[in-house]
Amino acid sequence: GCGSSPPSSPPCPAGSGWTCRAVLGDGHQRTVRRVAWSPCGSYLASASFDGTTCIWKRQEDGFECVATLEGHENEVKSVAWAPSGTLLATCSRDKSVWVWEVDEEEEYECVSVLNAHTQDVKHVVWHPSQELLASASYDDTVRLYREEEDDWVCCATLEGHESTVWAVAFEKGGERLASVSDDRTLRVWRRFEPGNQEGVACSGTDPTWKCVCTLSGYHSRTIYDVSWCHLTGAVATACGDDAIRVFEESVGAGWAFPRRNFHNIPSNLSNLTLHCSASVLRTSVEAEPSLRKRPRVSFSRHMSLMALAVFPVSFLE
Amino acid sequence: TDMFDGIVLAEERFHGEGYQEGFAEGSHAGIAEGRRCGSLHGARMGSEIGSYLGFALTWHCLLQKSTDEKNSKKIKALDSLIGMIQKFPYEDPTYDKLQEDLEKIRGKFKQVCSMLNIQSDFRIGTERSSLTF
Repeated sequence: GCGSSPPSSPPCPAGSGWTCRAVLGDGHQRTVRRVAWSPCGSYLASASFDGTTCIWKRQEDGFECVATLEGHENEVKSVAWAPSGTLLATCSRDKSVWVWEVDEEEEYECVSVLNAHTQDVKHVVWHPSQELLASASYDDTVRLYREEEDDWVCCATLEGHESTVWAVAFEKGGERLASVSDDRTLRVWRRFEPGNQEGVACSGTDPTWKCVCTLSGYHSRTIYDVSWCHLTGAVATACGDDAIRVFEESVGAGWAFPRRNFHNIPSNLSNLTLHCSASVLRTSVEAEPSLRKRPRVSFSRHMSLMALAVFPVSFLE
Repeated sequence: TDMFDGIVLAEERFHGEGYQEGFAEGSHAGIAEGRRCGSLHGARMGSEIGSYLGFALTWHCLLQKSTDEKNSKKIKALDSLIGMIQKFPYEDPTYDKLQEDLEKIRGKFKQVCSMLNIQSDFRIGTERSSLTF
């Protein structure tokens, strides 16, 4: 079996607080693309371009490879543990998502091979509390999967991005998810259950996910990763323009517009796009008296508050 | 009728007649080629699904003979694969979920191979390797 070797490089400078405890160099034959700790902390999964996913078990003196999950036809891009700790998901350039189950005897078994995407799958992520899986792909979509009668099915396809979706993150409560893409937007999607009060149509018993917010104009290059803090609700993005951005939802203004301002909108929710333009800083919060009959919903306040989270400048109001 | 009609409209008439003849000939050729094409695709799909069926039936038979209790999950997966193949409308090219169902069959086949510890024929080495993240 594969084992760990003692670190060969010199120890970290004193005071840094971190030491390299193990180097697991024999497990893979190509790039290791992703690592993930199991919820219990005793196992580490590693996904590699060599097409395999290794499961390492923590021992007193290091780590031991207790399983090698094979089957993908080419590079494995991501691996993720479900919160229950008994399920794992992997995805690959072979366009498929595999769901694996581990039993009490530490035996891993493939329970489903999902071929829903039409291109390279970049990322898989589990819902924080339910056995619901999300995947992001080069085919510009995010797909959701759940178990149905002993098999896994794709229960939702989130379309809207105009290019590769690189990553996805669930909000703590799991009612919303954020996705980031090569199209330089961050999108927030919300789940609507059948019979919801907003009048969003659902097919059968599956909820529908709708894009409730598109943040464009903030990133000048591809966005590669997103993380939604489960403590503060802040969303951080990693971008090809060398910057990290942190977005916060303002109390009152919020992203879930249907709750507050849109009682009379038609049942198919319009896709709300917030654009960041140079004029944001010059747009006044106070609108001049409107000559139109219907009150105009001003996005400027919302945008100002959003922009405040990103750019530390003071506004007139 | 104008006695010059025959001459003046000759080009138009010949064009029309030529078009009809060409259309008929083209349709004929098109049908023949389409048939060949359909035949080829059909054969490919049929042989792929047929190979999965043969594989599944064989393993089902082999596992029935074994008394190992761990086999129940494997047999269940094989049953599922056999069921999907038997339900597949392989004689209807206009079936709207053709591609989707075919992908589900492929996925189930891969899962079964994984459970039986059999490598389905795809290997990393045969493809040009890619380093996209």
